[in-house]
Amino acid sequence: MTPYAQLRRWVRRASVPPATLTRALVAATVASVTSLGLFVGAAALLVLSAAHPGLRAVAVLLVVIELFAFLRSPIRFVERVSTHRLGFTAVTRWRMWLMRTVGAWSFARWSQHAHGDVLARSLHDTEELQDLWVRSLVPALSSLASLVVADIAVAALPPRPHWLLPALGLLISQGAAATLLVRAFPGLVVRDRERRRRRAAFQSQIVELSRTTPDLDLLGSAAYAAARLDVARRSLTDAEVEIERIRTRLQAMLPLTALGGVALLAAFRPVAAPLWLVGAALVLVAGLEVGATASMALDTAVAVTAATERLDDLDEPATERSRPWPGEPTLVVRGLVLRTGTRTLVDGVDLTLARGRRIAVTGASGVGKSWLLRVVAGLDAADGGTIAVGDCPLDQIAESELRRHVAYVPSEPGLMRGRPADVIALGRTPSRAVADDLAAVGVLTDADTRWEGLSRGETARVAVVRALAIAPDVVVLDEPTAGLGPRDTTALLDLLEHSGAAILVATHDPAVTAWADEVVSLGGLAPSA
Amino acid sequence: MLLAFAASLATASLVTAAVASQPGAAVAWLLVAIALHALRSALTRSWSVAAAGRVRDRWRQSFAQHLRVPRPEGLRGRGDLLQATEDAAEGPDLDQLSAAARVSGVGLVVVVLAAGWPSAAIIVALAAVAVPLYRRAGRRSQTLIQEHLRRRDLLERRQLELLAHATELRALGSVEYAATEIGALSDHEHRAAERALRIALESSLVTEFVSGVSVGLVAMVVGFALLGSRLDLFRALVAVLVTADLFGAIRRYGIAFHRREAAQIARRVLDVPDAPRPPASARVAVATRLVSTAAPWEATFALAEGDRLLLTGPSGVGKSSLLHALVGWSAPASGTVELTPAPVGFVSPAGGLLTASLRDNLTLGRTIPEDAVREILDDLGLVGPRFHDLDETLSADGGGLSSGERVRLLLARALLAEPALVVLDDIGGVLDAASRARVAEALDRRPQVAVIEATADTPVVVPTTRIEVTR
Repeated sequence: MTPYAQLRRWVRRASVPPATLTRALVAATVASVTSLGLFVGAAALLVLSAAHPGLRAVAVLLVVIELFAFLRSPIRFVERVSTHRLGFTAVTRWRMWLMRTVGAWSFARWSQHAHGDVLARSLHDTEELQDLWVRSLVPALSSLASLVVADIAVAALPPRPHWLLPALGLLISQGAAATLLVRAFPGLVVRDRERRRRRAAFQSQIVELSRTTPDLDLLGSAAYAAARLDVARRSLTDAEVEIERIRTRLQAMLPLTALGGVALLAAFRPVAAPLWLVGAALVLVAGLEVGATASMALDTAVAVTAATERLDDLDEPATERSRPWPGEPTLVVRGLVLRTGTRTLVDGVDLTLARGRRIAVTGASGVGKSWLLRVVAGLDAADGGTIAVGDCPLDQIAESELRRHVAYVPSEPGLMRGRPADVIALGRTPSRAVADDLAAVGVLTDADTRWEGLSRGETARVAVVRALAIAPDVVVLDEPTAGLGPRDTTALLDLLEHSGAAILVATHDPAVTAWADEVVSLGGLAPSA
Repeated sequence: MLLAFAASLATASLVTAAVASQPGAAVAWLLVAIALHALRSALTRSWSVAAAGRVRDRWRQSFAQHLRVPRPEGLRGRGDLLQATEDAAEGPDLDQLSAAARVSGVGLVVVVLAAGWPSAAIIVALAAVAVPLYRRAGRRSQTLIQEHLRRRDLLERRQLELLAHATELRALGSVEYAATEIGALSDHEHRAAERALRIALESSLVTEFVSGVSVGLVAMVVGFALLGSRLDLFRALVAVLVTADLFGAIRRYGIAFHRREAAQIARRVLDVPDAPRPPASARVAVATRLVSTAAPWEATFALAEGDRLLLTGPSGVGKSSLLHALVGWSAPASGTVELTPAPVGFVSPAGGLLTASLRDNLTLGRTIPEDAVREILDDLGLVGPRFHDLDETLSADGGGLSSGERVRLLLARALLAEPALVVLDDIGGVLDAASRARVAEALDRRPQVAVIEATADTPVVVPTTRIEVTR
């Protein structure tokens, strides 16, 4: 897809309110024409005064110019507020789109992206899109409109018909500038894409090193962390300098296009009607300002195009799944195979998860327990075998249905800041008494509790209460008792048992394997109990 | 700014020449005006872009220093540093605007020379009114801008948190809720931005009015002077155009004035604080009445080579907080710590790997013989095809590795740095019994290393000293 088509697609996709867009465009055009009129008009007034046409004409013109000058501010005000609203509406829509898109990814897809990179995309790239109206479309279109108005005035007002020629000169010089900008666009997009890639890499490094540097610093290797960040920084700076070099060159070429207009004015050598000649020349000078606006609009269009490309990368066609959760909720796994590269981690595992049944999965670190759990929870794909609920394959059940009936607790749960009710509900309506469940696992709360920095053990317990809150039929848990003492472990297992759900739990904890009805050992090793 | 005045002079000459029916001269002045305009915009632009680039790069070089103390998950994107760098990069542009505003005094001299004292008096009087108005407008919008930045920071933190747990959100069926929350936070941020924008624009209405009045009054004065033939056209044009330039410069500086403060605040954020390093000790670690920030209990101990200290207690009692205070990542509620100046290995399930080869993750750029690396991996039970090729790239979040393998890699990394002290923060829970035994053996084989371990109920080491904390 060409950069132009890309830009058009995203402008359409934003579907901003037409009334706001019209208001912004009209206000911007009127303001631009007024600015241009002020510049030319003030000079014309003085020329008139010099030609002594009488005091009244000068006074009237003066009043008109002052009126224009005062009107300009409120008009600009309307324009700015309207264009910012356009951007705000679009950015919010895109931020939500990004959350939904990333939220629909499989675990495998999600783990390919560094968090810093996705964050850079969701914050900076969507924000660039906000500028599409404020700094690009609206100023570019309104500047263009004001130049057209000026050209028409210059062409329509010559005292003799054949003086249309200088107006043509203006058009040629403006056309040359526009061509220069349009031709520069695809090349700049390529450079900007690179700069953006490197900025994302730099931000990823920050996120990565934020987590690692404290440890490395204690080990006396802070310099190693700094050196890694330095590589990303240098590469980003190089790309920034490079794109700036191209922009500077373009800026230097823009005024040259005005020379065409000057040449035609010079060749024509009009001897009479100085007022008109002054007007034409000043429009040419004012065109330089318009050129600066157009070049800012170009820079923004480049940034927006590159940003949309990066957002498009995240997009993934949704698969159609619409079947309801079957009335018979036994989840059956047959012949499950999981492979990584050439290695087969899990080969032919069978599980039957009926309500109230408790199955523990054990095995040394790295044999694929977590992966198996994610596959059963419908969050990742398997390399072979079938998973079905009743007679319905798991991957045909509608996502919303699946999530209402199958709960999953990862080994490192998150999203634990805020009021307990909000942390547990996360937008769902709990069908269990959450406060009682929390108390049952030893996490005490009251009306004023706000969680901030829960410990690992507390997080593990809250995550289980959260998973059980909507009374699911199947609960899949990854190491839920790591970091818990014996008393908390017992409380947690009791809570799971009384929920009546089918339980699949990956664990190293002997207390959990002893509690389970069935222990499945992966990797051919005996359970560690 | 001087170039702007010169361009105005050229424009005035162009108009005068055209009126005097000297098309040749008019065209020549037109060329000069275009050239001066172009030169001015090229010079100011390239100067401020290059200077902003240098400022940005200089601060980015200091980022590594900021990353030495761990921060909670939502803050690891360090949006504060990146934003502060952008704010600081505005500094040179603001200096330039300020210089332009000051140089605009020269414009006053030009106006006096061109059109006499009355025009200059009008400018001085109205500028005296305008400057305080600009400053007031700047101050008002600055408060609102800070509110906007605060909300943006909130949005960024929440977004990082939600994206980092996208799979969990999906599993809970809460993706739509997260999208709605982001939408609400985004609207919130935009409402604050719009308020700041409205104030800025409303203030600019007043300031535009003042500058409009001054240009209008000057035009009127010189217009009447023209009619009375007390002034020629060139001088009249110069006075009007330079007045417009002059107020333009003051206005741009006035509107941007509040950004100076943002740039100064940014520098405070970017200045690197000295990391709170505990004083060096002859022993490996000495903690005296060290009180955890999480709960009121204290620990007093001294460790020598080969000592094994076990810190046990229920989850949430403040074990990790105490360990953080011990290594100097946070200030304790009270008490003192002395720590060996030798390397300290801090190993916890929250620790991170680097997106780099297995070898680089373990050696951290030092030259360590392959045999030594393999020996540690073997000791910790990290064997098999995944650990065979030391040049294979690992991902930072340890994708493809289990929690147990990741934590043992972190321990291997720590042991290869030949530490005097190893701190194990609750690693027993992610290891199976066989791995725990291997880790214990590996540590036993290094009697020169002191170990402090915190755990609820799954210790790895056999302790020589034990501190038990109760709720």
